Order: sequence, then structure tokens, then C-alpha cells
Amino acid sequence: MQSKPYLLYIGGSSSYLVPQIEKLSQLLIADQARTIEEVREATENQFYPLIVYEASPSEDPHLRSYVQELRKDFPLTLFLVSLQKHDHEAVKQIVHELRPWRVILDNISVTDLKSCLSAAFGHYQQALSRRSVLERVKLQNKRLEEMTHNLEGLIRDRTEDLSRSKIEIEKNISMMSRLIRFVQDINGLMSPEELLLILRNEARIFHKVTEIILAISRRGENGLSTTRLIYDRGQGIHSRKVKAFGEDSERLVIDSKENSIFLANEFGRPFSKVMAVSLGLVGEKNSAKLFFEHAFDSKEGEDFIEFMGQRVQTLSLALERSLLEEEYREESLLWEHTFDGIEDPIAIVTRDWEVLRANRHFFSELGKGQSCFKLFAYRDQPCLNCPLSLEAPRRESTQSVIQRGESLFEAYSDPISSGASGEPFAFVHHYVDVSHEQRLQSQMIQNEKMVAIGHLAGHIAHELNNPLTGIRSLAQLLVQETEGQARLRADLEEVERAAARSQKIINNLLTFARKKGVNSRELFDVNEVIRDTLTFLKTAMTPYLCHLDLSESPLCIQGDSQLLQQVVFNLVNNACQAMEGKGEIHIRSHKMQRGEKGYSVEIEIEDQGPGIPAEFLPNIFEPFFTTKGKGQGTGLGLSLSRDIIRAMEGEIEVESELGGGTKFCIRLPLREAHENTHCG
Amino acid sequence: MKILIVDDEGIVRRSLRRAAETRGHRATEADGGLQGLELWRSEPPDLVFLDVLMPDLSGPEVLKQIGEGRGKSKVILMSAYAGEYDSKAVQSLGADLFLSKPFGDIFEVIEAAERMVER
Repeated sequence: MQSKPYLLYIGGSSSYLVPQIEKLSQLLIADQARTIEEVREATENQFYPLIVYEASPSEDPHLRSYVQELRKDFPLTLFLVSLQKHDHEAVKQIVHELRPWRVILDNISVTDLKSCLSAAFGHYQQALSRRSVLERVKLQNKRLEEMTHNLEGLIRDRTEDLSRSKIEIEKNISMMSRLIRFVQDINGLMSPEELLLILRNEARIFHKVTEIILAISRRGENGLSTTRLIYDRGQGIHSRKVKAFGEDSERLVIDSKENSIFLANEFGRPFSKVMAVSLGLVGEKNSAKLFFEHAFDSKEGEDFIEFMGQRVQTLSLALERSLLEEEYREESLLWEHTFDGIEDPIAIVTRDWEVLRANRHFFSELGKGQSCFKLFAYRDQPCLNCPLSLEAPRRESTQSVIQRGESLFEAYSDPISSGASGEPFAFVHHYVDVSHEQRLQSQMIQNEKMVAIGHLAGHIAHELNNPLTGIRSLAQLLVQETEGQARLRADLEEVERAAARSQKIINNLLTFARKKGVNSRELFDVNEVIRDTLTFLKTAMTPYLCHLDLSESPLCIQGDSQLLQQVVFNLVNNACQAMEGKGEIHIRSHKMQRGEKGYSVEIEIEDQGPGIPAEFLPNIFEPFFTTKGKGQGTGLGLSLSRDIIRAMEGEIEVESELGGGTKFCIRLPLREAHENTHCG
Repeated sequence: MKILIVDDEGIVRRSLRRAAETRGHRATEADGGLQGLELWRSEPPDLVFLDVLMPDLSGPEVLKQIGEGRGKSKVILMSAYAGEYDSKAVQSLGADLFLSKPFGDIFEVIEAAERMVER
């Protein structure tokens, strides 16, 4: 049920209207106020949709002004003005001043009052509902506005968020790309010095970092640590060794006094604020630390710590790797020096004779990838007896003797294999120069041979000489005693001559085999030496026709006749061996003009053997050069012969062509025999 | 003259004795150092042909043992090893001449011996 509306009656002089209103108490609740105070009190305590103002000639003008003001406070309230009598002027004024909804006369009938108030109330109700609709619309508008406002705010926020995160993302991307570039840079790192250079460049954006120092400690085999300080001095990276710095387990040490003191001592200048970052290295051998001298405030410091935090792991890994590489380089350098320090040539060679590596003594100029025979032995073909020429595949070490120029090398070849197959991919060749040893050994064998022949010859000579003494002496006796018996005497004379020849052979044998002493400088007849020598070669020369064409007069030279005998023996013996069963040997001697000063003795020994191939001719006087089978020749005969002839101030030459035989020619200075010396 | 020939080789002794006898000398033979020493002591000869190398007693050893007991005997040392002794070494051993075997001419040997003893 709708509650009854309130009505305020302002005024009190009209006695008629008040009772009329009271009669309508079933319809409404009416209050009455006479003064301003009462009106204020009433309106403060209650809202009145209807206010009836009683305009009378005795009314208080202040009250009318107050009511006039009241209209503004209650816009919905309907104001009615009651007049005691219809006065046109008064109505006009009151309408002008108060703008009432209606002017009523106070003698209005109850019925009229009731319908007027009802209409007023209905009007109020209408206004009220219009107003509430208006308010709702207003409210909704307001809400709509709020929503729009909120939406805009939301969009603005989102947009801001988006642009903020775009900046963030861009920042992140640039940071990441910096990091990636840094990682790339640091991956190409070769040395700790380079690491410092890269870091220095990277940290350029932090202007307040004034110096970066990298300290690397290495614990040696003896347990003592050495520290290397690496720092940038403007013109480049420097590095030096100092005494070890104290290790601490902290990853990050900010502005510690110890670090500043340590650096100040090492660099001889004060260090103010120093940030130390440990680079975690695997293993206990190495440890490393970065010192940053800086002038950061706390915010900048945090930025820098974040910057370093992103890089410290990369730095650690890179440093670790470069230290390992450094160590590896040192080790490998050590090996290289070791190999270069070895006096013997050493090379690593593939099965195809390609040199992979070699030490300094293998060749003076580096020629990697070339063949070992070209680099080492100056040949176009693999060396004779090369261990690589042996039947493949080979898994054991081998050893052989190869020749380089005038030198002999013992070549040791050891296979290097890798993988499970065990198939060697290369060989270590180690060459030991044995020329000297070989020469000594050959000479020793030669000497021992001569000593043994000497002993044997001495023994045989003694055993034969005794019976020979008797045979010859008795023959001489009997020759005397058989005078007149011509045939017997001739026979005995033959026996005596044979005995004499035997005696001479034995004497020659003794002389030839005589132990070689100091080379004598005797004068002797070359022809006699040739004849004496040939007596030993009779057996060897049996299959061949020998033409002996010696000068009639003695050819006197100075030197050791026994040594010349050895030369002649060698050359004639070689000639016999070369001819293999048939042919002729020419042995000549004569005097010839030598320049303007004097004369030479020339000895020629010529055979009809197969000859010497032209490519061997330059080498045949080299020691150890031989074309004879293994064990048949030492390769020293011609070399020794040349040495002997040179010692006698002479020379030896060879002429030969394939299929055309070989001629050796010896020239020695001729000496004139003095009257008081006997030549031969 | 009286000649003693000391040599272990029979044919050497025989040829020397035969050559000496053709020249009218008297020769006795010893086939070794020991026998030679004995004969030398019992009947000192004018000349001794003494071989160096003998199985029982060598020539130089015989000379050492005979010592002052050799009397006026001249000694010719012989060896089949050529060039074994020079004249100085021969004298220090107590011999007067060294001859290497085989001899060039057996008669020259006897003549050399005769000249030595006559002197």
C-alpha cells in the first residue's frame, strides 16, 4: 500500500485553509510551520512533495525569501500558494517571485482542495517517476561512460603493455644477439690473451670499468702454483708471471681489500674498487680470476654483475679450452723440439713414400707431401733396400741399409697403426749414419784378412822353404857333379830353376801379406810390382788370354809398393770376375809426358767384360758402391784403390761402355832413380 | 875344417854336408838343438850351421846354453823366415852371420863359411 504523502503548510494566519487540509488527513499527512526556524527544522527532518505557502498581507518577507530559496533545494516539490482573496496584482507578483505550481484561494472548498492536492500529488508522482526514469537513464549513461572510460583505459594499458614488452623484447633480442656474438667470438679463441681482448671489447659499454686483469694460476707437478697476469696496456696485451695469489671459493668478490692490495703490489699503483669474478675451471690444476677495476655506483654495479653473470660460463669454458690447447701446444712443441734435437734424421712416411712430418735433420727446407727418397736421398726412385719396398702389408719393425750420396744409413722402419684393424697408416723412419762405422769395419776386416793371410803365408813359407832349400842346394851340387852328362845336367838345371821360381813365389807371398805398417816412401819399379802381382793371379787369369805389354826400361815411382800391388791385384781381379769365363786382358805400362815439367807412369788394365752402365760410372769410386751380389763385394775395392793412388799423388780413371769392356788407367809421377839408390 | 850342421830338416843337413865334403871339409849332423849342443860340447867344431826354429831347442837357445863352452867355433844362423834378424840382432845372439833359407847358391854359402873361419 502506498504511504501517504507529506504536506507542509507554511503560515498560520488563515484559519480557514488549515481545517480544510486537516479534513484530508486520510489522504495525506500535513505538517505546519510558521517561522523560518520551523520550516528549516521541518524540511531537514522530512521530505515534502507538497508545500503550501500562505501568502497574506501580514506575512514575513524573510519567510517568503526563504521559501523562494527552498524551491532551489527541492526541485521536485510542488509549491502551492494560497491567497485570501483574488487580487490580480498580488497573484502576478507571487507568480513572479515564487513560480508556484498553482495559486489557490484559501476559501477553496474541501472537494476542490482535495482534487487540487490530488492533481498536485499526481503531478508530483509523474515528475517523480519522470525524474527516476531520467535518473536511471542518467545512471545508465554514467555507467556507459564509465564502461567506455574503463575500456579506453584497458586499451591504453594494453597498448602500453604491448609497447613496453616490445621494447623489452627488442632489448632482450639485442642482448641475446650480443651474447651470441660474444659466444661466437670467444669460440674462435686461441689464447687467454685473446680472451681478455674480446672481454675488453665486450665490456666497452661499461665506461666505469677502467682496467681488466686476468689472473691464471697453474699448479705445477711439484705442487707449487705459478700465476700469470694478463692485462691490457693500451698498446696491446701483456702477460707476466708473478707469485701465486690466494685462492678463495667465492664466485664473486666485490671490492675486497685483499684484491686491491694484491693488484697494487703487482702493478705498483693504487687500486680503488676491484670486482673479482672467479672463472670455474674443471680439474684442480688451473684456476682463473678476472679483476675489474671500476667506479660503479650500486645500480651500475648490479647491471655489470648481471652482464658478467650471462657471460661467465662461456668465458670459463673458452678459457678452459684455450688453456688445454695451450698445454697441448706446449706439449707438441716439446715433442717437436725433442725430435729436432735428435741428430739422426727422422720422418713419418706413408706407404707411398710421402713425408707427413720430419725433423730438422731429415731435410733443411720443409717440403711436406713430397717423397722421402727425393727429400732425403735426392733420388727420383725409392732407395735400394727401402723398408717400404718390402712386401706389404707389414706390421713389424724392419731395418735395412740405404745409401745417400757417399753416406750409408741404417734405416729403422716402425709401423704406426690406429684403430682396431691394426693396419699401419704410416711408418716412422729413423736413419742412423753408419758410413763411418761401415768404413772402419770394412777396413778392419780388410786388415784382419791381410793379417790372417800374413800368418798363413808365413807358416806356409817356412814349411816350404826348408825342403826347398834342400832341393835347390842339392840340385846345384848335382849340376856340378854331372859334368859331361849333358841330359842329366839339363834336367837338374831345370829342377834348380823350378826351385828358384818357387822360392820367389813364396817370397812374393810373404811380401804381399806383410802386415801393413807405415806407408813407406820407397822408390820402386812399377813393372816389377805388376809382374810380382800377376804371379798370385795366375789361377784367376787361367781362362783368359793375357797380353802383358810393359815398357822395357824400369818405371820408377815413389810410394809403398805393397799398396800399389793391392791396387793392381784389385783391378786385375775385378777384370777377371767381370769377364765371366772368356775374353782377353791387356795390361800395359809406359812412360808419358806430363805437362811441361816431367813424366808420368801410365798403367792400363783393360778387359773385354760387359762394361759398366753409364749411370753407374760417376759412382764407381764411391765407397760401398757395388754391383756385385750381396756378400761378394764390400764396395770398397775401387774406393780404397783411388785413395791409395791419390796418396801417391796420382790419379785413376775409368773408361767403359756397355758391351765394350772396361779400361782402368792409373797415372803416377815418374821419379828418376838416383845413382846411389836402387830402384826395385 | 870341422863343420857341425844343426837342423831338423834332413834334406837341408844333407845338402850342406854334401857341399862341404866336395870342398874337402868334415861335417857332422845333428837333427835337433839338444843333439847339436851335445856334439858341440864333446868335439868343438870350427863352424856351426844352426837353424833357428827347431822342435826341441831353438838355435838362439842352443847359443845361450853353450855359452863360453863354444870355444872358437863360428856360427851361421839360418832361418826359413826371411828378414827375421838384422846383423845387430845376430851379433847379440852370439852368431856371426845370418842366412835366410832357401840359399841362392849353396857354394857361395860354403865359401862364406870358409872366409869366416880363415879370418
